[in-house]
Amino acid sequence: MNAPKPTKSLAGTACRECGEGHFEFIQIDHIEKISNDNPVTVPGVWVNRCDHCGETVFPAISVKYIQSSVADQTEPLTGQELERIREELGVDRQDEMSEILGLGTKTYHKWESGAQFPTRSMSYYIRMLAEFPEAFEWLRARSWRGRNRLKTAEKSPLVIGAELMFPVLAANPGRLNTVMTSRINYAGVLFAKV
Amino acid sequence: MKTYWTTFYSYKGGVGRSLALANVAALLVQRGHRVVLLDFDLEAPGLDTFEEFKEATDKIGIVEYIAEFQRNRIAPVIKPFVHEVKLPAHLRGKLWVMPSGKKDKAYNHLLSRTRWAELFNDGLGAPFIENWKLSIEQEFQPDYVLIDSRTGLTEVGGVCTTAFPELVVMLFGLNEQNVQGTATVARHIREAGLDRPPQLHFVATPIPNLPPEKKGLLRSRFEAAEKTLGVDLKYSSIRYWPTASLTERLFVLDDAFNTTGLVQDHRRLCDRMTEFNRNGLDFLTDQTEEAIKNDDIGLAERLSEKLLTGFPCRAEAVFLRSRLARLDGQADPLELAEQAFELDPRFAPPFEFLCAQYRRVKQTEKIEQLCESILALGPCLSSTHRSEVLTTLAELRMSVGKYDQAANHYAEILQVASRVSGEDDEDGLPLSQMVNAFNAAESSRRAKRLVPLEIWKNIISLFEKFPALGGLPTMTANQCQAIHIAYAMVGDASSAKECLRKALKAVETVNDLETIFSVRDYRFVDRDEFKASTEELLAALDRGELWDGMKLPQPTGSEPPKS
Repeated sequence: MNAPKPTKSLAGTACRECGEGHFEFIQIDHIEKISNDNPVTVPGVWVNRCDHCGETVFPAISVKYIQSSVADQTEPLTGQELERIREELGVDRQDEMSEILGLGTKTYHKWESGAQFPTRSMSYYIRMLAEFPEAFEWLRARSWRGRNRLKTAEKSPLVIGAELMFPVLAANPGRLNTVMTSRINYAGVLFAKV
Repeated sequence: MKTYWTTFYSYKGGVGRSLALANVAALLVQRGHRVVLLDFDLEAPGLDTFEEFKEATDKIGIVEYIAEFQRNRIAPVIKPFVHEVKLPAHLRGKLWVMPSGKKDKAYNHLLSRTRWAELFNDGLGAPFIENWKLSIEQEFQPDYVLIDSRTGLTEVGGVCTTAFPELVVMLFGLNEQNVQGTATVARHIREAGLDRPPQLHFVATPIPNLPPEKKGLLRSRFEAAEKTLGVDLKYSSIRYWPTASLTERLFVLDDAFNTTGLVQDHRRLCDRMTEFNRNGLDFLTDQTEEAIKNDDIGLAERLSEKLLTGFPCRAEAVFLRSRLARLDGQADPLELAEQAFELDPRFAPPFEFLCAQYRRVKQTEKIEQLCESILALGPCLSSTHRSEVLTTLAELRMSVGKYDQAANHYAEILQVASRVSGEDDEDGLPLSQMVNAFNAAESSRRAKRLVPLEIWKNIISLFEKFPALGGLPTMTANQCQAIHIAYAMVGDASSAKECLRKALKAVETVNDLETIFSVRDYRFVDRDEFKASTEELLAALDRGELWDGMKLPQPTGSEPPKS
């Protein structure tokens, strides 16, 4: 995304700081320092800068843009951070981690490899787990997904002849596939059997 | 489009579950949605006892559908098992009911042979239900499917609350038995191990109306329920309404119930339900508001795409695209609004937008066409809606000098209004009564029809009973300006002038951004134009006539002339 260009500038007006130079309206690569982290560079920000003393005046829209760029670059967890957190929490494998977090296997792998970023809220959540290992242990002990998953062998009977028995479903491969591969504990949908 | 599946469940009976479901369905239909109901309370079916759903009574339904599958091992075509229900024609949506089944001898036999556990153990339960869902979605294209579930911890209750829905509305009474049972069921649903477990929405009902000294008990029961269920019940309860518990009916469609707490509570439940549905038109409407408020062009583009692919033929969706087009300029807003109007002329927003647009470019004949095509819908229009459109059309025709047609419209409005007010209230609302009578009389006068003196006198007496004082200055100015005609027509020129002076006085406090309805032009004008026209009306009275040249009857002091 390009930095937004403010409609008004101070270009040509005298600098109030040194009283000698004049403001120019230019684009700069702004470097924002962040505590305990690498600084974030925000490219192409529009500012007014004095050609004599270098005094810089940020238009409101540029300040907003810098804030949101920094937030975008710092809040989602990076692959390296995720790897570090996983190791700190004592989880050896990526698929184990996704199991505990309640994610699909591929999702977590994509995050850690950097192919995709977790959402902001998911990042908050994982940061919190990293901060409070006992919460993570509690979650791990539940192993919600694992407990309710059926073994592959139990899923097979419905496949045979399904196309003939369920014509509407058969005409919609997407939905058919979802049913065949969904990991529902079928006993769980009948209260009387619980 | 994506159908949203909701189950209404209660652990115990008698909490008004079927009543709530039927009335929420009616509200959805009223808002223009397509709705299918499934009566899954197979042992104690209730939906077909509603007079409004009589088309589905004694027809085949769920039990026969399952039986046919178990007999043939092929899921049957859904259509013969689902029946369209005729609600009042002016409701914009549609409703179908899949009843529990024919209540004949075979029914009980078939019911006793339904084995859910076998079905699920054979691995056929999930594809059977998915096939069923898909059949309904493709055949009827509903926005909402509401399932009336069986009570208690039963197999079929489990199917209703876990296998079908995206949302379960859990209705429960506040006693301990109800609350505990509801909590147990909620736990079962959450722990059923579903990939996408349904959302749960808890509703306490019926809440008794207790005398103040007993309120403490009610509050403590509320708090206990909130604690057991782990939810906030502050905005989700339905109050007890004695007459509602005695009959099965769609009271939300009954104007007499309109302002009652009962209807309010059901509306709120309906709102909550539509908020849960993140793919529905209601949510997309909210998102559109957001995009427009925040000037969010990215969101606008995503929404337009979603609306186009998801709801290509729905007036609401096409009009939302028109609104979004005004933001991002990707399409022609006017063209989309016209398209939306054609899809359903009864959906008011495109009509209002188009009227404003045509008015701006002075294409009044196009507005007349719009109104005519709405009125052509005849019985598919509610009487209120018909009167609103007639009013728009009549004002427009007055403003362009088509007095004869306008007089006919105003006569019809007056007729409808007197019929309605005759039904429930002797007096009606004095203001609207006066306005209707005045418009009918004034349009007749301009159409050169004879207006009996009695009618003008009646208008004056209504005006004097309900003087336009203390209201908004724009309304006071309009009413005083208009009523001068009535005084003039009974020969009371001094009162007529007095009225016009009052109008001029009222207009002093109007700011220059407001507009006032001018009786001379029959349209809204700005303050200065209003002042100028009122001066003109005054000057005409000094000449002994109205501004349009009609002579005043001979004045006979304060007494009206004898005709």
